[in-house]
Amino acid sequence: MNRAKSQRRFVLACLAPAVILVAIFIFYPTINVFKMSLFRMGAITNTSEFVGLSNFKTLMEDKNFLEAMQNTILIIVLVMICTIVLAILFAALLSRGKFKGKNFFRVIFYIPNILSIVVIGGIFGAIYDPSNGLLNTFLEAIHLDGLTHKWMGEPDIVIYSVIFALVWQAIGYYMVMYMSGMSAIPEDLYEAASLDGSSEIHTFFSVTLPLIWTNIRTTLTFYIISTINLSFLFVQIMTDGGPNGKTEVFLNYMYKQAYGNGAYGYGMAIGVVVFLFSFILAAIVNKITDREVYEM
Amino acid sequence: MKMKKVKKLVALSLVSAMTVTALAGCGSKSNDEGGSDKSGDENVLKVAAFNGGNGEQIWKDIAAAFEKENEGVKVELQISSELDQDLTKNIKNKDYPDVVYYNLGQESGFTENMLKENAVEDISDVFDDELRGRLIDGILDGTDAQPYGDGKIYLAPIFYTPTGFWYNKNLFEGDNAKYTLPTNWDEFFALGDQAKKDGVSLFTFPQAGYLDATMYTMLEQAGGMDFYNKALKYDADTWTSEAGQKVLDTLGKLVTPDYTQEDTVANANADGGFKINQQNVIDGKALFMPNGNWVIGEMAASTPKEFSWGMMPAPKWSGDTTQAVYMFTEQMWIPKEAPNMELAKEFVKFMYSDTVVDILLNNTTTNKETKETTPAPIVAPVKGAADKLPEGTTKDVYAASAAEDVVSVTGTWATTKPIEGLDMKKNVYGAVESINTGDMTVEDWQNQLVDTWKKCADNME
Repeated sequence: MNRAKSQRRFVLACLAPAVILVAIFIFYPTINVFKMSLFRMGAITNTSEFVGLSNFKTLMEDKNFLEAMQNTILIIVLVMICTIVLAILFAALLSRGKFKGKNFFRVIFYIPNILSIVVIGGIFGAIYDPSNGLLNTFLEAIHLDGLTHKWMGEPDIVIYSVIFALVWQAIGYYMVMYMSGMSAIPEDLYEAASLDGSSEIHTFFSVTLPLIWTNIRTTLTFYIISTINLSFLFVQIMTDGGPNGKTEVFLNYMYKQAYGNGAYGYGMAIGVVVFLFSFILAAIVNKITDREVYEM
Repeated sequence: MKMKKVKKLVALSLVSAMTVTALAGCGSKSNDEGGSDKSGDENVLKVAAFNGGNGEQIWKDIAAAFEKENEGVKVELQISSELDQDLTKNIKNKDYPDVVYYNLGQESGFTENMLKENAVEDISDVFDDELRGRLIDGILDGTDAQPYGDGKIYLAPIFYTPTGFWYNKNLFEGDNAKYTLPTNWDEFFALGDQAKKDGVSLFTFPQAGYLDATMYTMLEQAGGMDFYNKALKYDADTWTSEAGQKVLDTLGKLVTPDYTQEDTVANANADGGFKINQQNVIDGKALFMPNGNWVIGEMAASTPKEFSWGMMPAPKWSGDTTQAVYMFTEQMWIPKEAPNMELAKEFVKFMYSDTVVDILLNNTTTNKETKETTPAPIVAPVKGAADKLPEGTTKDVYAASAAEDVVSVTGTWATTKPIEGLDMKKNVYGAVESINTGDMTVEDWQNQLVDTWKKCADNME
């Protein structure tokens, strides 16, 4: 009895610091954001005035916000699909394929992930530059002048330019996650499959993919959260929401409203919507991808 | 058994170490706050200055001169290129500077936000008749000195620069002149058609926001000073009036791909892309761009030796007798909560003294890479200051803007209460990009402006 008590006390003592830290640095600020979204407040001085849900009412009629929301959803969906397909493909090739220089490619694919956003912004600035950029110069060199575009200037294209940069940056990270999942799959399953005469592609769909399914599900949540965050950083460096709001995303708009426009409470209301949006989206994605887990 | 106890002890000590380190971060911060409280001292004047293109030395010199003239006063300088963020932090902690030099129109909107929050002191009493007499006419009348348009001065314009369209002088003057300098919009667009045949575009803009001065100039030019001042205070008829229509139609025509360099919009939003657009004027891909004389220093590293800058005001319409020129001013202000108000006002006044006027004119900047020092004179809005400039482009620019038929225009859109969901820059200037790409028409822009003006008018203080 005494022993169980002391055991419990020990567990509590060990948990307490983490709980306190999470409470102070995560729960308290989150609740605070919810609270501040009900106020009209300044970004600099501490003036505030309670306005109820008025910020949310304005938000629902705010065309700029709706445009940002549309853009963000498009970015999340496309980045998720493209990254997942490419990352799994590369992961399968690098973990199952038999060719030279696998380690080399592993490093190459991971490099974009450790580059700072500013560097990536610089790289894509050099790629997309309309007159001297790599992309347009290359297209001209191979006589495909018709395909050259103002990658950062044409309103219908610019968002895909940002998406491409996001995918390029994300592949390496997710590839490593999928590879770790694949390396845990026992070799004998593949042997059994090959004895049954299964082709490589068939094996991939009936052995590899089902066995890394839990892995993929976890990363889906990551995609939602990290794309919301990273799209802010990329957009800030690459386009600042331009031309005329065509690449505006959630957080960049929130930042502009809270600091640039001095509507801090309104910015927090955007924060609340983004929070709920990502939470609900993650829950939905989690629900619809729920499958029976195969044991290895 | 014993082993288990050791494990427990290790775990506990690790946990407590983690807590201590995490909390240590909080602890040291409160120490900092305690430290800065001391500066409420009577004779310390805290001056916070934005570190922009003018360099730091100028503020050190001015501070030293102020200390010399006011015995027993110590000026504590806070010079930062991220002044908005630093001050936001300080002000949230109730640590207020006495004097702030930070412009309107910066990306951060810091000064605008201080005004929106009514946190800037009314300094009308600094500008007595004696001081007003020494300053350039009209410099205190605009909304960049009286942001609420209520006749009270909150912002002291301490530096000023005429702005306009910058171009390569060698193309218009001297032996190799290729074109004649246009004076009105008809000639301007005709020049555009002529240049197009040579494969050169008429116009480019570094970023859409740089069209602000152009728009202000054109509004005055089109409708006169009364119209202009009403427009700044969100008069409902601004954009539907004949003058407003004329401005929008002309600008709308100017920014179409027919006249604006094709890469302009693509470069305008990318990080650092505005410099590529500016370089296009130097490289001869575009003839004109809206800018101020800081562009000379900003582009110095990539400007060929034989290149020579010129500036002309945004054209007038044929038949106009006067020529409007927009004066860009930089402002200094005092927070309402400044601990040392009297001394702060003295300091603002001191900015217009002969001592400071000379310090400003003798300013130099050092290129960080080449260590080369170049003169970068700054002009205070004091009568006669611009005459003391050394011969050259800068002096010409100031002289031209003081000519007989020139009307100088100052001011910015008046300050309103914060308006949730409003993106002023996007609504007013961002549309220019969409007109360029064909996403919007001038009519869409006009409707958007009418809506924006209504919202702002409803939220005037």
